[in-house]
Amino acid sequence: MTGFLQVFLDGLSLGSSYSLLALGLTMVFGVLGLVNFAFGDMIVWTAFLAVELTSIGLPLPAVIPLTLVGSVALSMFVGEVVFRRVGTQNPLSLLLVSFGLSLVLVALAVQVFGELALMFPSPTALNTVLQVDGLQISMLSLVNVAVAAVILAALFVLLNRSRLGLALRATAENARTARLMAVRPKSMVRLSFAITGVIGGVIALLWFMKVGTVTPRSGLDITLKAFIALVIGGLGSARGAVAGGFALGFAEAALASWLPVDLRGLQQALAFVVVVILLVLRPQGIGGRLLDVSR
Amino acid sequence: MPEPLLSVHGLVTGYGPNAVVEQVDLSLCPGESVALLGVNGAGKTTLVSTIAGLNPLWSGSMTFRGDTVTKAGPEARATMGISLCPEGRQIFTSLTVEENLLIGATPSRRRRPAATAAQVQERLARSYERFPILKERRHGGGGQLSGGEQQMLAIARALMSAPELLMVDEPSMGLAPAVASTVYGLLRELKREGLAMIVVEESSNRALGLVDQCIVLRGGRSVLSAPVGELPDHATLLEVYLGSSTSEEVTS
Ligand SMILES: Nc1ncnc2c1ncn2[C@@H]1O[C@H](COP(=O)(O)OP(=O)(O)OP(=O)(O)O)[C@@H](O)[C@H]1O
Ligand SMILES: [Mg+2]
Repeated sequence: MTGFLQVFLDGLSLGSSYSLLALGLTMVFGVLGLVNFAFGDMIVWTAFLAVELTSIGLPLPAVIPLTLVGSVALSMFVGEVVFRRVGTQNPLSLLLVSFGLSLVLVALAVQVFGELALMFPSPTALNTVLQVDGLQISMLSLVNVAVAAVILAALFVLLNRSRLGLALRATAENARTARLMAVRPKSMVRLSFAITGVIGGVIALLWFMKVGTVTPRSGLDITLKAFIALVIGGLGSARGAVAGGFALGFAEAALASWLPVDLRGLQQALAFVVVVILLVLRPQGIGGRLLDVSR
Repeated sequence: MPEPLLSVHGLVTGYGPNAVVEQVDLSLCPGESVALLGVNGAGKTTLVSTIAGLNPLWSGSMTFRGDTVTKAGPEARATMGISLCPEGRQIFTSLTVEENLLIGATPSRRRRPAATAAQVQERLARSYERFPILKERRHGGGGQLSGGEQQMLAIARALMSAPELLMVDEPSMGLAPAVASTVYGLLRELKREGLAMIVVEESSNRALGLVDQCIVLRGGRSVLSAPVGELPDHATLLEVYLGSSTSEEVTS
């Protein structure tokens, strides 16, 4: 029982991160039809910003909001300057541009920060591990779950209870008709990149506090996790993204804990096998349709 | 002569290199309504989409309530009081019925203050009064309605912006006659309330029974534009202006 609960706790913590990641990707996918493969690298740049801000002596309470602001700015800049220019006529060209952007961001990061891993600021309090009845959970994991819960709730309210959210969902489904209701596609693209920026900033902080260090190449892992969660959940569905994120989190936690020790190196590969099996069984993913929160 | 609500001069538009609508003139006074008739592919949808701002004018001009809107986008025109209930209804299936209505309430409009939350609620209540079925289904998905209910929803949504001009593209398309009659009953009520309308149909006695003017498009050109009272008899109208549907299929 303890073993099972431990896996549940680990999965919950991993799943919260993955859900947020997948949500970040799905927001932009919904309105632009773009799966942004540079998402992880943008998060890495945000993480570097946090490292730099810390190194000039700013305390964490200042670093956190500045990092979030930076992340939103980066996301909106990229959305405005890179992706919106390309346009939505050809989803493949958007995809290609996002690959290109990823390469550029990594190369630039190598130039600016070097290949060596940099220490990521992490308050010692967050590294405390709580022990209850043989269960272990770190403060950081708890914070992770709590922050994810707050963001998910806020997004739910935004998407379902505000005109802006309605406009975003309507645009994702049928931008042309939404324009007849005075919804500007341009504004919706901006909004989706802004939301993705907030999520990216939060992830940058939580993810690298956990990992401890950041390198220019840390982004690929993040993008992959987000992408897997997204595909499991079903592209374009906000609910699916959350479900997919948690599914991936629990699957990883279970594999990590129950796999024989000598097979643990294969954990990542096996996670992919699980994904493939899932997609064979349910090609549309476990979620619904485009940002479909109503069902 | 009152100042026209909408006036369109020499409108030309199309897709890619092909002009689809050419040299169309149209003038509508407040509260007046016009039927826009024509066979498949005549350019009716293209014309009303262009008036709504979805397609750019290649040439010609358009004013609404005296303002030149030739270059305005659909968002601006929507906030000015032009509303299009588009062909195929275009209900947002990922939104609930009520959300479909709410998204129709455009947030602000030129020359008039933005709709307040209270006004939006008032319009919502009015929609539910007109369409009790929508109230019943308000938390259900927009895609789960029947064709007729979807058409009601599409019209109700177009009304949520409290427009001064409502354009309805083929409101009876795909509907059983009884349901189509209900839809036209509603349009008649809206006309009584003083709403200016452009009603698109392929050919319809229903539409002609509703409106003040009639414009027939053929091959993108207006081949007839007259007050309903001065129209030729029905058979001639069909023969000469619309072309009987069978002969049209053969020639096109
Ligand atoms: N998006 C588009 N791209 C290219 N051509 C188009 C497009 N939409 C319509 N057309 C062409 O423009 C012409 C007019 O089409 P339109 O839809 O305006 O006609 P319509 O009178 O509304 O016909 P229907 O009664 O079938 O709705 C047709 O020849 C059609 O093929
Ligand atoms: Mg049409």
